[in-house]
Amino acid sequence: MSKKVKTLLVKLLVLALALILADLAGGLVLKYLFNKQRSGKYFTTSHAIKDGKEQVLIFGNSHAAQHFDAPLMAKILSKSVFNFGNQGQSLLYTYPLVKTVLSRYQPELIILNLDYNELRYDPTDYERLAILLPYYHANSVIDSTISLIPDRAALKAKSHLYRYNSTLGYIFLNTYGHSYGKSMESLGYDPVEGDMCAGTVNREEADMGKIAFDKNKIDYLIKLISYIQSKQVKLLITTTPLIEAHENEKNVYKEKLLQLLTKMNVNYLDYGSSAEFKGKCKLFHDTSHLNATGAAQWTKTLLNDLPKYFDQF
Amino acid sequence: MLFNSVQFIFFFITVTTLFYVLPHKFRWMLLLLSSCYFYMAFVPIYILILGFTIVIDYFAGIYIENSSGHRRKVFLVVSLIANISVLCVFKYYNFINDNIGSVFPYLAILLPIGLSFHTFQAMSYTIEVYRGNQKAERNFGIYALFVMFYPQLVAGPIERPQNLLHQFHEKHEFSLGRVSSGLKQMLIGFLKKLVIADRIGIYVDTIYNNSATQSGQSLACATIFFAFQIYCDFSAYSDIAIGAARVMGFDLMKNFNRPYLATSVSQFWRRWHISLSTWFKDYVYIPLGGSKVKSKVLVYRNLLIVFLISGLWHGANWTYVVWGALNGVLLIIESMIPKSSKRDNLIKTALKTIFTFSLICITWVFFRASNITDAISILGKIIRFEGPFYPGNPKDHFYYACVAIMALMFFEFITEYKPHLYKLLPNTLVARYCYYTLVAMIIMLFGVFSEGQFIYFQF
Repeated sequence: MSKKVKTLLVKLLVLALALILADLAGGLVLKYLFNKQRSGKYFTTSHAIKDGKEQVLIFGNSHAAQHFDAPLMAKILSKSVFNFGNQGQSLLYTYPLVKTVLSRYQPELIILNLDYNELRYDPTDYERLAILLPYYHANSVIDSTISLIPDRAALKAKSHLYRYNSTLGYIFLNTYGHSYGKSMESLGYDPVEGDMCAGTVNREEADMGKIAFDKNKIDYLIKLISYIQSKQVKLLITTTPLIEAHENEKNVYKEKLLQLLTKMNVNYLDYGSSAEFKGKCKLFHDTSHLNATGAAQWTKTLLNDLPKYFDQF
Repeated sequence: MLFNSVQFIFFFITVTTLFYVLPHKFRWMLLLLSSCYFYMAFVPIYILILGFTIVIDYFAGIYIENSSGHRRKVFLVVSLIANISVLCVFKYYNFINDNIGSVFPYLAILLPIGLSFHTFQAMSYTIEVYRGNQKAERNFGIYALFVMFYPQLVAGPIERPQNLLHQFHEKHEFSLGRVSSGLKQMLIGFLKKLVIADRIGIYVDTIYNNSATQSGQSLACATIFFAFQIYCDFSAYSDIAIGAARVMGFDLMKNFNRPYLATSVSQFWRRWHISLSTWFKDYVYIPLGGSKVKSKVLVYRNLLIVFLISGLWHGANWTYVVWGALNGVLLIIESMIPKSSKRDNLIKTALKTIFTFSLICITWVFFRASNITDAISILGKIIRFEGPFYPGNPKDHFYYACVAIMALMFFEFITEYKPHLYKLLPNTLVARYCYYTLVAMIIMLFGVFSEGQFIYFQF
């Protein structure tokens, strides 16, 4: 080996060591900053994984986060409540979160909000699992979920810095700046304002394209329900209201979901085609998201219906 | 294989190591095999198209050199027709067919990656052999390598045979300086692609993919962002290509020279995609007579022809043709304005730079929009400049993009106007390691690692 090659290899080795050290040190600093967040999607995820101890927990996507008025629920039920719903997330995100929570303590009730199309395969659901990267190595369930993220994210997550990729601005905004919502004060509830009465309500076309069930989601749903039941925690599955009900339309995803829930003997509260909300533009921010007024009404409706399923509520 | 993939990192390390381990006489074989593998990582079957043009041009080169008189021209024309036919079939067939009323059936084919790049490089070879500037390559493998050399195979720089071909015959000794400089340039390329281009692209795609519902302010911002996205995306590819080649001792031509600091459209075109601009100058503009024709009208005609072809080179869509035509018209207008012999002061230079950038941004609207109707509607909205401004959701992508663009322009400004300031920075080994580590940290922290394709691959 020539002297020049040896010199290059030594230099590359030193550089590699410097990079590893910088990665470790940078990762530690970012972990510290990350944990200081007071609001936002990471705050609620961290709360679920690390220190949440509430009695009533809500999980799901934006329909959970924006529809379940957790402070109102806490007040009416006189119980501690937290809304762990996160925008754009699916069962793939909910499953490791619920498992982590239940490995720590036993809540009284878990409300899992699911869309009719929850079991549909959507590649973006896998990309959005990147939200879990900062929690790499938190536990084996989270690690196995991270391995589902495309583009070899699990391999890249070996880098401590990469785990916080694209989060720095978000960290600062949710630590020192204005809040994105979803704080401890709001108990994770993230209401949206504005109604649909000003414009024409465009009926959302149900363009599902080619039917493709997501085997992972089906698997996660079955495992999730079984796990909650095995821990003897009360479970209620809900579907929140839509401005336009699609009750006459055939939806294979909904059929599969209902079939699974029936088979597993789960309490399911389906408000997707509720007459109480149908066509009421004042209650909706868009075709599937209730605004704060709609969310309050939905929460009260839910709480009225809750004793039908569980005596102590 | 994408430069911004994990696969490429392993590929590059393996090929470079083997390159220096192998004796000189086997190196071209290694490079040819690895280039085939690199290309076949996209759509394997398309290597046959590449093989077809390589065979035609290889023999055309030899026949041109061995012939005299009219026969030389015949072999050149055969080679050019073969290359242009491949382009026409795979790139322009459906476009032409659509515009003549779909006389022929629609051809459901994918555009071979980097087709325009390697076809133009192959054409430059036969033209230069015909002109007597380049000897025909007798080693088929080395000629194939000239067309297929993996760093610049799919997105340039479009090399001339006089610059590259002889390098495959030369023995490249291991040079610490060259390896280090090549790796640095690659690192800069990764920074531009992953941290700037792909990051900005998130905002640009959000706005342009919903242009009908977006406001003029948001579209104006997205257009400015797109200008930087395409610059960083394409120049990043060139940086990685030039750097990867340099690590193995090969010199590829410079493709970008801080284009957004140009003070005129003509200067922009001397700084943007230099290998393509000079290709058009050498093989289209000058043969048409260039600027040495009898009347100004003919010069304008030549400029317009070059830019219309350049537009069409970029893609089989009227948006690219209009983009090319607009650039041609801007150059014609510019050439009509008398030039002052006085040196511009700082304010005048700044104003000219901003004005040139604004004009270029207008042309980018046509480049980015899906069709002419959308482009006109977008331009209309931008001119009215109505709100509200949409910063994206989450907003941090927008802020990252702004900071990244400002940082890029800061460094470009220093390099262009105050290069001596770099000398003030410490240049010790420790300091250099700190810079590299910092750049690597920035990439890990702010890079977009979705392995998104380079924009120019589609051309």
